[in-house]
Amino acid sequence: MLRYALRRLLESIPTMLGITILTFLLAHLVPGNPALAMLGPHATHRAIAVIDHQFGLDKPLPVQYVIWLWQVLHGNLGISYTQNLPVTTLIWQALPRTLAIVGIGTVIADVLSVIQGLYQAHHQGRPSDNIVTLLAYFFYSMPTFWLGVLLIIWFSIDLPIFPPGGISDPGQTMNFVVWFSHISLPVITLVIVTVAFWGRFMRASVIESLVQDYIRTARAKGLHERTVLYRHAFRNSLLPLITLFGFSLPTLFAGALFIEEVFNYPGLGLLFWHAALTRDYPTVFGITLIIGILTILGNLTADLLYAVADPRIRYN
Amino acid sequence: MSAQLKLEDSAGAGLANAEKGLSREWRAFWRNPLAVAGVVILAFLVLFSWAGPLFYHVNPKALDLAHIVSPPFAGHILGTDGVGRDQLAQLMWGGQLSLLVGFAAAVAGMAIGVIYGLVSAELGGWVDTVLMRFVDVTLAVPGIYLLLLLDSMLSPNSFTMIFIIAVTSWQGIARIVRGEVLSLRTRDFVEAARAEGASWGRVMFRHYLPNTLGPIIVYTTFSVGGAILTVAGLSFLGLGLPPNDPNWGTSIANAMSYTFQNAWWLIYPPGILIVLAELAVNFLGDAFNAAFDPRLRGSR
Repeated sequence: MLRYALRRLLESIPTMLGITILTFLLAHLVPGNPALAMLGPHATHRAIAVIDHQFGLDKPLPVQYVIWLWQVLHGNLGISYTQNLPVTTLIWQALPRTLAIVGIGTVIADVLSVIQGLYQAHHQGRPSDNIVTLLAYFFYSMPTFWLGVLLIIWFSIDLPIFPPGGISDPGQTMNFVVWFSHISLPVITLVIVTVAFWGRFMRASVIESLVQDYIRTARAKGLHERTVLYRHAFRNSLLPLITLFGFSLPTLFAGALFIEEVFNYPGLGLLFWHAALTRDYPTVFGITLIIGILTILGNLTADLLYAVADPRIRYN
Repeated sequence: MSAQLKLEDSAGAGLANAEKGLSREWRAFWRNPLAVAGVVILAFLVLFSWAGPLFYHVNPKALDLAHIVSPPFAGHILGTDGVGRDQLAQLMWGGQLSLLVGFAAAVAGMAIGVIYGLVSAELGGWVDTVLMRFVDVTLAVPGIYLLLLLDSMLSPNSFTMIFIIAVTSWQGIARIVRGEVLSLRTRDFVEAARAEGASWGRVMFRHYLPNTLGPIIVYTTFSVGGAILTVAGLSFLGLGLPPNDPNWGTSIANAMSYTFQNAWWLIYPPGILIVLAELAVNFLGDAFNAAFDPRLRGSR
């Protein structure tokens, strides 16, 4: 198991290096250069050359890449053009907020999609099964940002239960209640779109495990149908959820970007969006890099969890 | 995205049928109520967007300054937006752009993916390894981040939009085609064709492509939905199509300013149209999937 984990970790290094190369090359395709951005449009050629030399921008591309990578490995992602702060500082501020939405949303979505899968498998082919399937189609077809807008209209304007956005209202001191009320609508949005997607797979997964031999054995033993469903089928249909989670990570981060924009929630997505709008390239590339690495680590975790959860899988 | 998981398990499907043509699949497809529903919704949207303006002669860009954020009335059937533009005309013309760009982007992405997958599988060896590693790398970054990044580098218009979406959405189909071709190469009929001296092109177009057609159609159908959503999403973020050309995403973005005024005619219609387009595409994709996957056929 430990050897498998180590091997998978080593195998993901080329992909991570690939992400750094892709980010670096894209950063160099961008029009304009850092010296111009720092000095403004009236900079002399001489001043630009001095800065270029200082940053090593006059060196060959592969050398620049190595220098850049060395800086990245030391946690230096450059200085934001627009906010005049290190990109790492900005990311550290925003990342926990995004992880809060994605993390809480994922846990709730997991539970709900398991319930949906069990319910539909139990009522397979009946009208209630079809109604849930149609509802899932409907929510799955909804643009995340539109759903967010509708939830704001319904639950913070028409029925003022939740605040429409931000992380706290002006003058409010931060406490659990304030925090919780502000992340509620963003989390609900993420949960709805995620369950619409995962629930269908859970239904298929439960139905598939219901035709396995051990289920027939359990039924043949005379176990109550409820026990068969909730003890035997349930546990084994959980496995795809782990894969689904690893597989959905990029989608979750993408969803978070739209949700943060709609709810004006200052996480990584909103930071990225502002940076993209203002062409703040160091921030844009820094976040691309961080999200890429988080996704790979997430997939790795999912693979390892799968190995722990499924004793049939042996790793050598 | 639902396409990827679905397709991975249908990856071995539809192999034996290619030589007989696809008629059996088509019959299975048309028997599926999902397919009929998808075609009907899609026909409605196409008629709405292209035939609609023939009957509803209102300039979508004309500003009616006497009626700003006005609820529906006889002069403007679906009301007006913040600068007095007719909402119904905006949605009709916006539909053309949203649907066309989405469709073109999905087809362009499909073309890139098919060629990439074929080349990767045919060349094999370390080229294959490097090419597939590159797919892993581009998949690790969520599409929308790559999209925003590219969009901030290129000036937005319909063609850059199609290009940007295509170069960020070809990986799934590339993986599928590569997998299919790898499994086809060792099959008897391909080896027989090779032994008879069939050219590379003949093997490619006579044997590989027809046998991967099923998964390609299913995946591309789902991609159209993804691309329509992406166009709408990027426009919503203010980074997609030029804001002066009406499209459904921009309509939702503009409506956001009027949430507190309860301007329901601005907020609901564009969203409903996007939902209908997505529903149609998802229905069609699932129906194609059921028709092409022999394990699913007859189970509905």
